[in-house]
Amino acid sequence: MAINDYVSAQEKGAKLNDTLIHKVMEAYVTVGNSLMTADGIVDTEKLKNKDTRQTASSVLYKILQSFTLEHFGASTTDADRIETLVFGLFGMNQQSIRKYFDDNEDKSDFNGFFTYAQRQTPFGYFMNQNTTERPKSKLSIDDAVEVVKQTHTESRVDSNKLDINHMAELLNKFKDDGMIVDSFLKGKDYAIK
Amino acid sequence: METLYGILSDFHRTNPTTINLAMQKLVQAGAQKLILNGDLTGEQNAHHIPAPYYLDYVLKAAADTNLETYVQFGSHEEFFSSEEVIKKKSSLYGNIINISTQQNIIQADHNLLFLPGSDVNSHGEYTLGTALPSGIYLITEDGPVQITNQNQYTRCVQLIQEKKAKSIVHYENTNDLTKHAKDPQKTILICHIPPLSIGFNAIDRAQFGLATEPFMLDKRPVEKDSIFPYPIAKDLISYGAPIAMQDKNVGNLELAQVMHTLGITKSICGHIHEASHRAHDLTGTHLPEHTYSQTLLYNASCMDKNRVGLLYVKDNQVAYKNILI
Repeated sequence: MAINDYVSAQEKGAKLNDTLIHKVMEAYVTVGNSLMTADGIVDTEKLKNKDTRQTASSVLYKILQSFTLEHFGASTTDADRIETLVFGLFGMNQQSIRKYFDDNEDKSDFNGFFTYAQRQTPFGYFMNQNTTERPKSKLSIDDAVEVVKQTHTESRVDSNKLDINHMAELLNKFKDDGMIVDSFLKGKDYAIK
Repeated sequence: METLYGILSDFHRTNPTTINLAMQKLVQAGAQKLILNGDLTGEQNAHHIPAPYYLDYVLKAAADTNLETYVQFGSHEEFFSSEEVIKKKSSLYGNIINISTQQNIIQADHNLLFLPGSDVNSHGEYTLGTALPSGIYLITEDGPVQITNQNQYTRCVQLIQEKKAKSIVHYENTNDLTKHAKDPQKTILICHIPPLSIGFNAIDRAQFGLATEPFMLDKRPVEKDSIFPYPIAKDLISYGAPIAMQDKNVGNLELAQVMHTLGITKSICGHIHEASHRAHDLTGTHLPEHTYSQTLLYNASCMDKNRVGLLYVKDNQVAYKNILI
């Protein structure tokens, strides 16, 4: 049961992350649309202007905000509360978004923004929590025997040596590859020598 | 029972904002399933969204419609990144179906048969032809080497990372249609490229420029026989580039021959942008919208031109509707 809960939580986290990435792209594209010339060219030169950078930050933030309220089913209009919710989901707030545009001005691009979000805001950490740490909370040390059974490693893994991270590692590998090969177990502390 | 397929293809310069709009329009028009028929990476999008992210965006938009969506690649998809994205998306969302794992979709009164790839690859790594057996190949300086198992594949990935081999391509042999088409009369062939057709208003009629000799463009060499889209070719000619304008049917001859031999009379394509929203029978005679027929060659879509298509299937007959976004 706990293993099913783990797998289900991981799937839920993966879908949430996928949606978050999609929303960040959608938000960035919306900013690009606001900078577009009549010829259909995204004119990032416009971001040299301070007011345009402020507008771009607001446009991007509003998309994240809109999704956040929908995601949490929240109807609050309190700006501080909304900002807390947005930060809790995307790891970004208006200031951190503005910082990206101020630091990069006309050199802004999607790759740069996405890398910034992942590495210089908690966005990447939160996504990792969604698919890695949060699902692990569904497992306990009592599930070790069942993990070994479900991954068909009874004769190769010592369930007494498994901690939660090991269990997650085995379950993930089994899910990805459909099997646990001997080479994967080589050198692992929990492998039966 | 009538089945309605919404068809989209050729996302090159398409603004990502238009993607959700197009899918919603198809849903509103009654589409029950979607077909993404190649060139899905938006490699010329104004926002400079990198190809894998763009493909990811397209597939997520399709996933969110909750419609069963068949995905195949065309002329522009690169192998590694595209495989990674489609694998991830189809494992996350049950409605995203990677046709490379299931080419034949059997329905009660018709079959969809997917033939991925293209005979004209523009940085794409899904090739359609008759030179090699279908499969995955490592491209080396000595030619293509078929990869037949997971261990070889893993080794090939290493070789590419170490820059000891060029790339991996997916090769689809056109003649495999004879294996896949169990019931040709019930088969609707879905291929990114069109079969060679007849006439000025055919689904494969293209206007383009062809380099008549090598030249330099923006300090990069252009090889003889390189192809340029019509407006770009016109511009380049005005600057003196050695380009000759062409106006001809450019569909795939081998595909047309195999279809003829097997008796497949219904096919859907994209690829030739200027011929999108055209439909005709095997003789090149125009077929009107909303009219059921046993025969239909339909260039259904070009997102760059805001054109998508709706295919109606009923009792092994087909009809179509052109939709402008």
